[in-house]
Amino acid sequence: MTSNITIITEMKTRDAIASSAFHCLVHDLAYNNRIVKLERRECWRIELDLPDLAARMELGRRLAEETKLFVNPNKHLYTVRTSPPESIIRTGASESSIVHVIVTEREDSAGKGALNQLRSLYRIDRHIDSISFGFLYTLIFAPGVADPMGLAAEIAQLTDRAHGLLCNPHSQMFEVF
Amino acid sequence: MNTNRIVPISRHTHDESLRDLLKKLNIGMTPPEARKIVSILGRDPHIVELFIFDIEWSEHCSYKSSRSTLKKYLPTDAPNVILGPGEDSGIIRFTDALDGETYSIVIAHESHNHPSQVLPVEGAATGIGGIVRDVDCMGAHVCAVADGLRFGNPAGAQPARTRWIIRGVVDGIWQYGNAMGVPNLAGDVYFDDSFDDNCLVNVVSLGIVKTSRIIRSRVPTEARNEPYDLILAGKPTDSSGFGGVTFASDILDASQDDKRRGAVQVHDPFIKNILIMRKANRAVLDLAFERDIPIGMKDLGGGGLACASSEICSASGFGAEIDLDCVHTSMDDLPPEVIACGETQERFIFAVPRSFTREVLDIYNTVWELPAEANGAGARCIGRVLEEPIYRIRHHGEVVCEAPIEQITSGIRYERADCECRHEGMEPEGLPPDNLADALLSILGSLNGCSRLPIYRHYDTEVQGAAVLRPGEADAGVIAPLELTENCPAGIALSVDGNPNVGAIDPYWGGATAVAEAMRNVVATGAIPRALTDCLNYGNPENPSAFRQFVDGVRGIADAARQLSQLDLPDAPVAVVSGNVSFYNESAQGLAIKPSPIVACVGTMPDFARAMTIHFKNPGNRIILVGERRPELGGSAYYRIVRGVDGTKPLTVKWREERAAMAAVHTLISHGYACACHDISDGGFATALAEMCLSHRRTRLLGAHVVFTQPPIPADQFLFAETGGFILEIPPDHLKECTAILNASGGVWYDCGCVTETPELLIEIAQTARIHLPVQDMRLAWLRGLEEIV
Amino acid sequence: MNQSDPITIAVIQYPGTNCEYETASAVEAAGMSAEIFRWNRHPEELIRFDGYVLAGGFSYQDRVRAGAIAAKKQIIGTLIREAAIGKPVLGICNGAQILIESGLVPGNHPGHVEMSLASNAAAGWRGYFCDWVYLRCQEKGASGAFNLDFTPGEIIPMPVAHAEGRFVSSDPALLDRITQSDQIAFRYCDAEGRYQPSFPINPNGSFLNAAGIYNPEGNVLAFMPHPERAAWMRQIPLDLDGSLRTATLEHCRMPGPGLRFFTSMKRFISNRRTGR
Repeated sequence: MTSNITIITEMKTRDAIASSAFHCLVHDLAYNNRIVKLERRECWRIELDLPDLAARMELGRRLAEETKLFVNPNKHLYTVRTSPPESIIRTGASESSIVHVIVTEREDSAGKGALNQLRSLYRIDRHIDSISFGFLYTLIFAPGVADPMGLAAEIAQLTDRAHGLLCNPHSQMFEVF
Repeated sequence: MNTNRIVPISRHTHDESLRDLLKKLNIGMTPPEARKIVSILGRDPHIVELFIFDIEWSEHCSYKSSRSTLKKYLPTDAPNVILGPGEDSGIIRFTDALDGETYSIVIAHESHNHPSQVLPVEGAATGIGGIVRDVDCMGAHVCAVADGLRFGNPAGAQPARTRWIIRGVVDGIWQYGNAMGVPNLAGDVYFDDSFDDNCLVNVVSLGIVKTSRIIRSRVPTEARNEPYDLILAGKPTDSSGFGGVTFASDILDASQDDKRRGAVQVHDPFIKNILIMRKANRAVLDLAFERDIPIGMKDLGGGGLACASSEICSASGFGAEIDLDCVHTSMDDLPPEVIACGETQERFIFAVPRSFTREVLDIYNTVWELPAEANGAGARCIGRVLEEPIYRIRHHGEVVCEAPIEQITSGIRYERADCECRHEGMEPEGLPPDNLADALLSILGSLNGCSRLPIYRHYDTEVQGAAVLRPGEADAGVIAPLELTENCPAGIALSVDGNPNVGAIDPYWGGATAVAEAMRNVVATGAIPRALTDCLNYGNPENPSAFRQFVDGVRGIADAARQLSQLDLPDAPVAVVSGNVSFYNESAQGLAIKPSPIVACVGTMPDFARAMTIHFKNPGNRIILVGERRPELGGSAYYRIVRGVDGTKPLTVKWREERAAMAAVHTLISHGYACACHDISDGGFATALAEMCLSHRRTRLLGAHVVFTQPPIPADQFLFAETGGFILEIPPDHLKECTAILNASGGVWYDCGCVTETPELLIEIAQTARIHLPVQDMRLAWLRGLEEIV
Repeated sequence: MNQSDPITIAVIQYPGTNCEYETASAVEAAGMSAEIFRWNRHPEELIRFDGYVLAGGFSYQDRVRAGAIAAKKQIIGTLIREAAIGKPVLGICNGAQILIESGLVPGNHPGHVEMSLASNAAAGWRGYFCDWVYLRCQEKGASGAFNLDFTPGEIIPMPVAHAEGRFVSSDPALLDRITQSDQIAFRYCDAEGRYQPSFPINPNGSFLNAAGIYNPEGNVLAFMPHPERAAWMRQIPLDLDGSLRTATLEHCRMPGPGLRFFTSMKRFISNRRTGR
């Protein structure tokens, strides 16, 4: 049986990528009345063969704290989730106006590299089937914005200069939730 | 002053309780130092004052343990020196150019060791970021960086952590330097267990400035006649770089804790690019020179705004008044000590006449749109220059610091005790191996002997278009920084060196050989060594034997700089114009690193077109060995890798012979008689000869065949001794001139063989082939050494 | 426009651009006049130039994706209009990434982003890669503005320096079209001109070893290597196989192969003026 854990890391300091992306959406694209905030986190989705929930949590904690591949406590805050990343705690404005977008590379060298290093250097790869890495953007829209999911997908998917930013579909993939 | 924030030092009459108080405040100074502040101020300090003194009196800012030793020994002046140690960078004369201007070279050297151990990417990146600010703020265009790296053993006790550090440091260097747009042109790397808990990341930066346009890190004297403002330009101030501070609840509000908690120093090469890469700062300086407006400029480094603003004003006898409410910040309600002392990166301070302030602010805020395009960066007027020598800071209308400015910036000094420490080493037992080919292969494939390609291929060596010789091509990086703009062919060579295995056996020779090796590398490209910088990495200076290692290292550097001197000016030392001391490089168990002075040498040549690479060019050309081989193999690659011991006899330098060899080689190259040149260092003659056959780019390889009928010392020692020297490739038609020049030098040299079409290395000693290897085999071993590590 | 008017080229400078000065020098060395043009100047000022170079570097520090934010700036809108009337536009490295992210290249479906310059994918390398490689000019002859002065199939050395240089598209038919319509201007090859797909001959895993791609009209080129860093012989390493550079003093100062991108540009502009 396959099961997941997700390690989500967040910079303790202000994230320059998030600031620049937000500025671009507001000033260079026409989203200034609709988006009020953009956050970015990094997200490691780890496919496991480990049905027991407590054991999964424990493995997640070990990966985060006993290896140097995912978390540096000097700069990151982190959380481990045994459920899919979709269930990230939503804070701030009303639920409906917050949408998450995960962007992953079609050729995910970061995820593969982490798995290789886990195998070659740390030897704690038991139960781990695969690792994928992505940027987790959280878009916070103005209250009452129509179809926030659709708007998030439009912001994500680069189609032309006026539409989309976060994901170039020719080399990346995204999920909205 | 707000009495809640006064630190009651005088109330603590016992050292114990005062020490506890200081510790709670995360203040590093000792109780006697804290009491000294009370006597200077005549009262207990405000918390902001306490932090400012703590930083100004730190080892980093005041050189309190090292200053008297450095002053006593190092030669810092020579006819070509324009500015020695003291400001952010050293400056030497470079060349006259066709535009009628004289150009100077600006160089600075620093360590970022401790940050890189815990945050390799950020530590290495902010190391580069800091050193280029030091060069930029002299008014220079930054045109090269280099780095001296010392890592732990990737196959040692902590392989995963060590590899994480290696990768992180390399990533930090490229992510910062490449994005900013400065080529990385030189450096060296060693791996050793003694760096497992304490890596060394030393960074060097080099710039070019018109001599008439050097900017000083001081308020111009014109500030006596008209009002001068202080302008802070760059990244908005945040709490980063305020070192993990936890505050005492007895005098501070615990709810503020999060805003004080120092985070790491965060690098931003994007803002740095806008500031220094011939964009915003350049626009300010151009305007100032165009209108003949005297200004001062300084970068913000250790100690942040308080250090930079007090030093720029006190340097010319002025005072300053700073209003922290005017500082642009990216976090609300930062405590005043964080705004004053935090080490947010990518910031500069300017002292400009008030009539010029508006235009300066516009360059950052309007022309370059920093506030909008770079996340709240920009420029603000944050204070003014005072005629009276008082340093005053206001926050929310209250005075939070007021002290005589020279008391803040003059620092303190200690005379540290020293005592000799002896190295316990062994000479190898038993007979040398019969198969010296295997010995050579294992040196070429070893961590410390193999190609550094997997590291420097991450670095942009080509940006700015001025690279003439890049890493791997020659012993030093060579650039022609004025060729594009001024049509001036003068070249600059830069090398960074220091073998920790020599310093481990004898700290004095560790320092001296680092200088000799750096100079030799510069000479091998055809340049004349013109200046040195040093970064002195040692253990705890309060430990007398570690302090003695430091003193010996400084003595070694000083002697070499004087004795080897400038090749065309025998009485002028190759002056040490900038540098840095890094103490407390040790593990949690108190194990110090190997004494590691790292020396950079900058050389100049009138025409870059004469610059020499190490690779063999044409079959049939003669191979010349310059320099005797001496049986001093302590710390050599051969002893450590092949014989498994450190040895006892350190590598030394014979001043007269070394200087004569450098002078002869320089003459040969500058006359165009040589077509390849490589210095002899790690791995000795055999390794250097092999390297002249090896190139990662070339697939059509040449070989070498050399013969020694009767070497004066045993064959293994002859081939692998790391005594300084050179190998030259000389076309047969120049052999006559070459012979004359080398004979006149009075040193030992051998016309020992020739370059061959067959890609094989053949070394015959006393009629026996001691090494006979296909170059392709050597190349594979040499290229693979670091493949899996980086 | 008068045939004898000087040709002027705008070298576009964003915050984070870092190759604008040497690029301007190469433009000048090719006999044109260059002006470094800040991204936020009034777009109308851009119209008077005869051609454009988007210089390399790290505009907006590659945040979100290399070239992603720069592509959204107003200046690119103007550039698209000027390109549509046939003026030449060269995007070098980060400039190429901006052209791809703004849909100017490959431009088979104008206005739409049809490709990506993805992270290098080369077995044996991780992250940024800087070294000299060989390129081969398109064998059927120049299909655009920037290789007019090369002989068909010519092999030249040039440095690359990037972490995202792999031309990819999720539309396989598009890659076929680009190939068939001869839009690939240069391909990575070995010293003998063979298109080996392996690292480091192909340094980033780009499809068909593509190093530079034209729009169908041939006036816009997205090019990953750096011609301005091979514009003089002195810039070329001496240990390249079959190196063009020799160690002689005079030879160091000769023009290098990269300069011909800019002389080609000049010829293209002159031809446009005379209506050829």
